[in-house]
Amino acid sequence: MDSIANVQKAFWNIGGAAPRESDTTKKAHDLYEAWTGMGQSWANSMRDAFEEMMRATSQGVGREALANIFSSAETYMKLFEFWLPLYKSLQEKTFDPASYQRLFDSAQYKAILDKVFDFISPGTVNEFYENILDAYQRGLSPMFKIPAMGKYREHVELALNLLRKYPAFMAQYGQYQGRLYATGQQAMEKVMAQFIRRMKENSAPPSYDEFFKIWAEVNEQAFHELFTAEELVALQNELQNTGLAIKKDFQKLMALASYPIVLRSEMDELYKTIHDLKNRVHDLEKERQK
Amino acid sequence: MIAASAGAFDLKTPVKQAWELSRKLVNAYETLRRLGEIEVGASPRELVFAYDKINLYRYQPEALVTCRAPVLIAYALVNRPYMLDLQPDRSFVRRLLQQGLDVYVIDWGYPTTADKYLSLDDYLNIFLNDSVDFIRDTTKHDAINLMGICQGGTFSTIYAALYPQKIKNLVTIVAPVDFSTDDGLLFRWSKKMNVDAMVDHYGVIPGEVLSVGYLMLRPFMKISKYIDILEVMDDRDKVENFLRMEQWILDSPAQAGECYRQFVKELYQKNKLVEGGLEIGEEKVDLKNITMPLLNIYASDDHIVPPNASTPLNDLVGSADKELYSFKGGHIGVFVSAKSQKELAPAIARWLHQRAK
Repeated sequence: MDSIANVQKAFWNIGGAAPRESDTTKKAHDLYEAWTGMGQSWANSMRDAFEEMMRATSQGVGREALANIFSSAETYMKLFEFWLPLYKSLQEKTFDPASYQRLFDSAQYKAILDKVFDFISPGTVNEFYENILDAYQRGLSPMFKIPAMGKYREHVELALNLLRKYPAFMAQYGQYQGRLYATGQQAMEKVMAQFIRRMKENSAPPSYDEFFKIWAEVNEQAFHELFTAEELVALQNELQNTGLAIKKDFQKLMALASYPIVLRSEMDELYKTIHDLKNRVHDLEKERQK
Repeated sequence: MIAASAGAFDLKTPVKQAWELSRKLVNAYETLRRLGEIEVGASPRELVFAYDKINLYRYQPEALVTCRAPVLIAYALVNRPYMLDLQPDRSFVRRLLQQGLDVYVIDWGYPTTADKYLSLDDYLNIFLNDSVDFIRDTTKHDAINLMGICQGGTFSTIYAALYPQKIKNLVTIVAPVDFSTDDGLLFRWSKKMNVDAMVDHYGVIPGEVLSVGYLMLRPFMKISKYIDILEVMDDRDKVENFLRMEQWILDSPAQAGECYRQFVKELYQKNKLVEGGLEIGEEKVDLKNITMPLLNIYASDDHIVPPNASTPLNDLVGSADKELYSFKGGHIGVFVSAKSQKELAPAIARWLHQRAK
């Protein structure tokens, strides 16, 4: 395991220079220009090292903690990349609201929020459901070739139901993500207002760590308010209901497919019987003890 | 931390920042790998009773038992009870033992898919009741002290109303009783949740599903926490403390479907403990049946069980001897903070001693 060497390598890949004062001063301009993709290339290079580290760490709480630390560090660096141009314009006293609008990269900021909320992209969700449908259709394709009547009617109706619910789910998912992105963007404006206020008070821009602290606090408050809103709670419930309804239909389809496996409904019956029997035995034992 | 300097844009800062973070991450990796597995549950204890998946433990006394009636602690179903005994210097249980209490803790276990049909009736009239009876029989006490924490506090309250003759004193800690409040996000979310769809789909609700809900309560603080821990990776004690908490957070048991359905519908959504009409098995639950002394402890900064959900209990019970105790802190701080060890555990022991006769 040569993780330190890998990380060093990853680091050199970022700026092409060691953090020696003379070098960095000379290459300041070049480095800044290169910075735009720096966070990403840092994350990409580090990810390889992280994966190696994760493989070398045995299962357990330490491994889970490490994964969470790496994931948070990635967010921290993504935000750093986002913050740097703002910081530069503040330091060079060229910052104004218009420049903030110019510098605010909404796609980049969405990527930060995706990481915070562990969102999977709509593309991935799409792929997931397409795989489910594909597997189902391949398994039951003969059914689609016959008229929707008799014993196949239920199959076809369920399959169509499933197909109808899926776009609704995607629309709700998009709407939910949209609300979160909008809140994140508004929160970022509040962060900048606080940041500028702090800068005026102290005459120098706060450090990145101070910026990060402000960012976390302001966002925590903004998202708490969002999650408290009736409208979002309703949307969250709708999303959950649609997702569960899709899964339910899919399970029903699987049950109709007559695969040689024990069905969930059959297992439920067994669990219920065991539960009732356990209670009966318990009651009898109690009576005997008396 | 790297402070920004005034003047022309200085790239030393970002480059150093990235370098520093990389170095800290490698340090974190090496520290966590070196530490290996982490131990939780510090105090010696003995398994004294088991039924189905539940286990009842008795903790080895650390001092002369001066409060004769034993104390049974009922923790929530959603997390593991070793939070009460994380490590020797952060053990709520140990502090109680040192104050002369005889402590038992019920461990609800890890429900599996086969436990889908376990209901509130099973948890209260079988698991909790059998544990109480076991302690009463083996210690020759007609009534014991019951201490319920969080959801375990709700269970204990219901139990005390159903079996008042078996409970000498009731202590509730950060226990939700009045679910009408909108103060906490969990309370808001649960009111409109389609719990039937959830239980019908999952059968047994996976711990991970519930964990997502808990993490959504403070998503940004979670990131800050993992960045902050990088600063103390050289301090073995702090890292071990952090890992014990992490272990506890990650160790989230699944929830038996029927019990979860009833808890959400009857309590979160219909608030039947306060409004009336809650039935467990075939018995109606009337909080006025609680006539034993009550110590009701809430945390002033609790974001999971807000004070408004806990404090009304004192007005709902029939007890003449009842006390409301405000702990300055959050939901978890009640058990693991230094203040809890120093103040709360001795205060509970004192209160129980005063009512020992």
